[in-house]
Amino acid sequence: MAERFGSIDKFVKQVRERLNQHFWLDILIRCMCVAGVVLIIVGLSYILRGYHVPLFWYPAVLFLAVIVTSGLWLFFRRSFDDAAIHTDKHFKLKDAVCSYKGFSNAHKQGGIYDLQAGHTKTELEKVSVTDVRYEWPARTIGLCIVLMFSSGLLALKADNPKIAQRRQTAEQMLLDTEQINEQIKDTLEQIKEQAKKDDIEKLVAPDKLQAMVDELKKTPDLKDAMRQYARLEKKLNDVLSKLQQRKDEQLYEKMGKVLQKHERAKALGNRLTKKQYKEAAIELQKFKIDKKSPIENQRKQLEQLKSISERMANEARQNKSSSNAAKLAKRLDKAASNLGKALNSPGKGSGSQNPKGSQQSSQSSSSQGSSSQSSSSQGSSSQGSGSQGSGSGGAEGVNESLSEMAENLNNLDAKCKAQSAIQKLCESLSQCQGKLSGKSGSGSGKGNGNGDGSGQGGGIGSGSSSNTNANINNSPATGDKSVLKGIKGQGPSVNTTEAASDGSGSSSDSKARLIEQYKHQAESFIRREDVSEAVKSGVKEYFENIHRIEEGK
Amino acid sequence: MSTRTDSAKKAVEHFRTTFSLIKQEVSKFIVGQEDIIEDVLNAVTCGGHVLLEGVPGLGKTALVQTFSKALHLNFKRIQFTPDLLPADVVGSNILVQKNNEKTFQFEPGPVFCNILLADEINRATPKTQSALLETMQEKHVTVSGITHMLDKPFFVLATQNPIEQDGTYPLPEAQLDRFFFKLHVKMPSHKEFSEILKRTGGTTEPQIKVVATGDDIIKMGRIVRYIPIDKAILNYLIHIVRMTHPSVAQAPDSVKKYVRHGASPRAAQTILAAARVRAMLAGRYHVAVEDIDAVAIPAMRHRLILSFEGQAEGVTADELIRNVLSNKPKIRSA
Repeated sequence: MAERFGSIDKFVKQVRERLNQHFWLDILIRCMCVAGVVLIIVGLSYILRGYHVPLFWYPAVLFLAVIVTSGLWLFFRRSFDDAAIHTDKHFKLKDAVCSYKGFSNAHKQGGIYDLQAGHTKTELEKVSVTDVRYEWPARTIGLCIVLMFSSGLLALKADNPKIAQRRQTAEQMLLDTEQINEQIKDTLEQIKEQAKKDDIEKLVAPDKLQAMVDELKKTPDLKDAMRQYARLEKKLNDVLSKLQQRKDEQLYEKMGKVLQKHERAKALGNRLTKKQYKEAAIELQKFKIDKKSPIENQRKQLEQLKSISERMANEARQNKSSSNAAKLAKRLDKAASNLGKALNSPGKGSGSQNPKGSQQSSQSSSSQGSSSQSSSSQGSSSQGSGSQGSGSGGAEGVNESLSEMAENLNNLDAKCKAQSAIQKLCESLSQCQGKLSGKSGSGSGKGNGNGDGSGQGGGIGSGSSSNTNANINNSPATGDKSVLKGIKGQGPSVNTTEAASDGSGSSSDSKARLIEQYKHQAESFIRREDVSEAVKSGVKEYFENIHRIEEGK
Repeated sequence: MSTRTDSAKKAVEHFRTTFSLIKQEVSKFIVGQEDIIEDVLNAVTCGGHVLLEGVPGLGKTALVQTFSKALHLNFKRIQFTPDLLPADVVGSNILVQKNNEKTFQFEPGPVFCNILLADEINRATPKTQSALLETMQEKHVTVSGITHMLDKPFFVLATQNPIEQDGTYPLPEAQLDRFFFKLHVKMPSHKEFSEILKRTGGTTEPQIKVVATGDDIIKMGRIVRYIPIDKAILNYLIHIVRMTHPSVAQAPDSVKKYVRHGASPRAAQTILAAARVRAMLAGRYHVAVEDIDAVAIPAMRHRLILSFEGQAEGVTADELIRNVLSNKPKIRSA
């Protein structure tokens, strides 16, 4: 039966193919309508927020529509049974095809069933598959065209000026951050080379710095950029604080000034005042007592050393800012008195005190540990104790102490170099931050309203912080650094950046917001790079004067 | 083509030819009423009984008489009246003297024929009406414990007047269910009226020739059963019948509201048989949904028992069946 009436199945298959084609078109048109609606919704969502509609949405949604169409078609495509039903309905065959299919599926054949199949075949021969035509849904197609056209019109709308500016700023920010990161990396490379050259790699720890710098990313967001630089700055400050030698430097500087008045130690004093510790160490070596020289010369040298020790002790006593200074003063006093005893007593008798002095020196060395401050005091105390002996043993001790002090000065010099290297990185970072904050400042200056609050805040915070650091580092008046440090602590820094992000125009209290805004603007103005040197130096002088008055009291 | 197919084709051809001849012959006398003629003939070929309902004078009795003439069958008529007794219908044992002996002998009633016209059947008492139950269903009569077989074919064509209700006894449900079709004989149109007057008003009446015999009718009834029906269409038929029951969840609200009892499985049998005949007459060898829809109303209208609410609101069974058909179940989805 199947062979004889195969034309029926063939006919139904052809109908099925046509139906599936029509079905695909049907779904496609509907999916396109939905895609049009989706595109309009997406477009409106962008336009209402002031953005232009990104063009990638159009091919993406259309592609998705085709995919969905194909998926739906695969899932719901017409089966052979559906085609049989449609054939019956379309050609008004009164269930002939369906009945034929039912009988053939049930393997009923011969007799009346063959007659039925023959009748169905005859009926189908009268009609043509091409009569199964697709009725184009004019309304749906019209709707689809209107929707697509409308969504296309939305694509013509450009960004509003505010958004365009913001986008431009973001793009610029991306470029800027990239440049800055490169700049910082270059600086780091230079620092690495310098550290290698000066043999201060241990102190500088370039790998650590590299890791910190590697964390920097290019970002279109000013706030993010400022945050990451602020984070780096904080880390660098931590490193710097570990290398901090300021108090020792101040002490040495004061001592240097005192020594400058002494004829023999003038050169040493000059070096110490100029923070040329390496050279100062060389100068210090010159104070070593020559054992071969006559006793009189040695005594003379000891006297000079005693005088120097007394002056230095005096100066150390006056310096109240450092606790080490007091210790140093005490030791220098003791050293001076020991030197006095050594001078007054016969040569060999005083030599017995030398071991004690050495022991004391070693004690101080162990008790002070590795801190920079302690190392300087250690040097001084060694000097003092070393000068206790006037005999050959005493001269050795003095020389040894001088060597230790010279070594300490060398260490201090290395730390200073490391510090200056990291400060160089800090400076570079500060300059970059300054550049960024300058941008943010100009952004806020244009008065973009509520939206620019965060950008303004970020700029101010980081900018102010970097400027403070720069001032400290570059300040020639070393003695006033402690005063400037105090200002740094009080001034807005990284914290200001965070505070600005909170007040991004969402506050309901307008007065508080205004005050905050004015505050930011004022601080921004003060911290700006274009503040003239005259103003800066005036402010610095003002604080220096206050400090002097305090010292005078 | 195989012999089986060939013989099936010949049988179907014979059915169509005979049916057409009978219809033509009856139509010589009966003007219009083509649907009625076709439905009566449909029921007759399927071995069913027909209840014709219509006002007097529409030609109900004439139609039955014409059929009997065209089919060359033994025709008898019973005029049902309130005093008619069952024995008057089925026959009774009477005492007769035979060879000097008095014995009871069965005297067959008018049901012993091929075509029985039960005129105004609703005028007889329920007892007498019930006498026809066995006759109509089993096609035999039992009197005094002895069963007497009726001649084949046998079918009852009953008539009743829907207007005049005084002194009538509505047919019991059991008896109504035994009727294959209940047909409403409609008033002829103007043109048909004119033709009726022309044919009957003259000096001569149309002569009805015998075009088929009882055997032909039996053969026709046999071939009907061979017409196949697809499973989906059979499901549709079952669904339609079940939908007339108010207890079925899918039944329309109107059925739930106005129907007390729906159509019986015998209704489904009737519809199937009648649909097969229609399919053959349409030149098809399979039953279509269209055939079922066409015969559903005459096959089920007398099988629906309306609720009190339905009767009070004057709802007709035809409306309810149409409602069921309009809520066609989706046996197949296109």
